[in-house]
Amino acid sequence: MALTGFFLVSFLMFHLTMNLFLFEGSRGSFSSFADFLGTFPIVRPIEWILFGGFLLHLLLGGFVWLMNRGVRPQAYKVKGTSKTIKLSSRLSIYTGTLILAFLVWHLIQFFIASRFAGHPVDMFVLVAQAFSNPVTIVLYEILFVILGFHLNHGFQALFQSLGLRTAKYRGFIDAVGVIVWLLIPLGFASIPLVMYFGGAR
Amino acid sequence: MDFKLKVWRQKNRDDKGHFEDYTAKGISEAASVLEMLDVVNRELVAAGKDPIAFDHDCREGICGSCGLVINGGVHGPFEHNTTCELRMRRFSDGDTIVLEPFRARPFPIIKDLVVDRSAFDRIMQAGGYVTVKTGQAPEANGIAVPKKIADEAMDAAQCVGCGACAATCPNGSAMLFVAAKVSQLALLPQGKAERKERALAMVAQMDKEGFGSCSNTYACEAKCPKGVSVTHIARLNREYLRAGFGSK
Ligand code: HEM
Ligand code: FES
Repeated sequence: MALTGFFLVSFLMFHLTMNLFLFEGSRGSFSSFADFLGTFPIVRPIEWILFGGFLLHLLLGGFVWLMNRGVRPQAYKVKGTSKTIKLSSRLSIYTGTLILAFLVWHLIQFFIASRFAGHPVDMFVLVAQAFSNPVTIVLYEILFVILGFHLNHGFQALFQSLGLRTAKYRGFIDAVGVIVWLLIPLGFASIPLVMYFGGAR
Repeated sequence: MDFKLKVWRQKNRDDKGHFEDYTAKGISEAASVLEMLDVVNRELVAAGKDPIAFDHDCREGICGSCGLVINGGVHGPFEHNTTCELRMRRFSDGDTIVLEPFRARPFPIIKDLVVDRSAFDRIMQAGGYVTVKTGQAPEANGIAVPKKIADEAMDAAQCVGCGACAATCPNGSAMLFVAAKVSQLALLPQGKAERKERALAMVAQMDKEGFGSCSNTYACEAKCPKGVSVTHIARLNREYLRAGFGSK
């Protein structure tokens, strides 16, 4: 869970960095970078590792969730414990599942549409087209809120699981966590908005 | 003070159990929840009825015997107290108070509010000790322990093994208990020698008992009567990884 989570966070940072080049506009580096990733052979196996990481992460998460069913055969009459838990921790299985649902759509929209088009596709144009639809933008923005929630739980949790969030480092990890769960989703969230309102042409 | 009580009654392990209503009248505000139950039980016995069974021993928050879920909160709706330390003045006159047993699969109900927590004993037997030759008491300053380490070990040693962590955890996990024991001993020179075997054996026993898996919700830390920190769970994870991957 923790190792795959760390891997996915690293991927998100890479993905965000690359996507921010969209701000350079249609003649910027984004499309050529995408072209490079789409055609350079080494990228294929890396892609499979990434998909494997996602799969492993959600299988492990689903497994933990399933195994923990039935561990309280009878529920408490007065539900008090949930109040003591952060919302993001309580919802991680659901936010994770929503991210998965998004991912399927997202891959169809960009990955499948470019890779299996049968002819070269300008990535910038593809993205700009997608983000010309306000409905798409709203759905993406909702996803980024959900992603923020998932990372709010997940990022500090991965250090906890790896045994690094001891008394000495707890404060530091939680502080870096704010950067990760807040800034990564904010960075992604800015992209469709900037593109729609004409910041990148 | 007067209270309306809704108390879980269950004849034995196999009984389905149900809630029953009681009234507690003329309770001193200095009485603990357990002392209130004593008053109710005295009336029940006088009326020839079966008293409400509940666990207790020291009644001063150090033995870990007591443990009720009070209005949905393990050891009550407040922080850092055991059930026996919870005074009635923290409630309002006329309140309805719901009393339930600790609920987790490895804690079967014996009767009413009494649960079988011997799963914790078996986890302790699996590795919660140090093997030492008991000869003469050694010179106290013979083994130097830095104050910071001693403090952290002492914080872990606060755990009284009441089971509140498992009872409040949405996953019914006993990680905070096991972490407190493993961490306390791993920090101190006397415990370091057997740290690997201990971490592996105690975690294995915990899983065998049927406790759930930790998903880092920190529900346990919020309700631990002794304020044991989840940073000890991080240390347990570290000890476990170290035992699994490190050289034996
Ligand atoms: C594909 C859909 C996803 C699903 C179904 C999913 C599911 C889960 C689940 C069930 C957990 C366990 C929560 C817990 O109980 O502790 C979890 C934890 C976590 N997730 Fe995800 N997740 C997904 C995507 C992501 C993404 C995109 C990232 C980050 C890039 C991520 C990062 C993490 C991290 C760091 C953890 C914490 C690991 C730990 O507790 O040690 N997840 N995820
Ligand atoms: S009776 Fe000993 S801790 Fe409550």
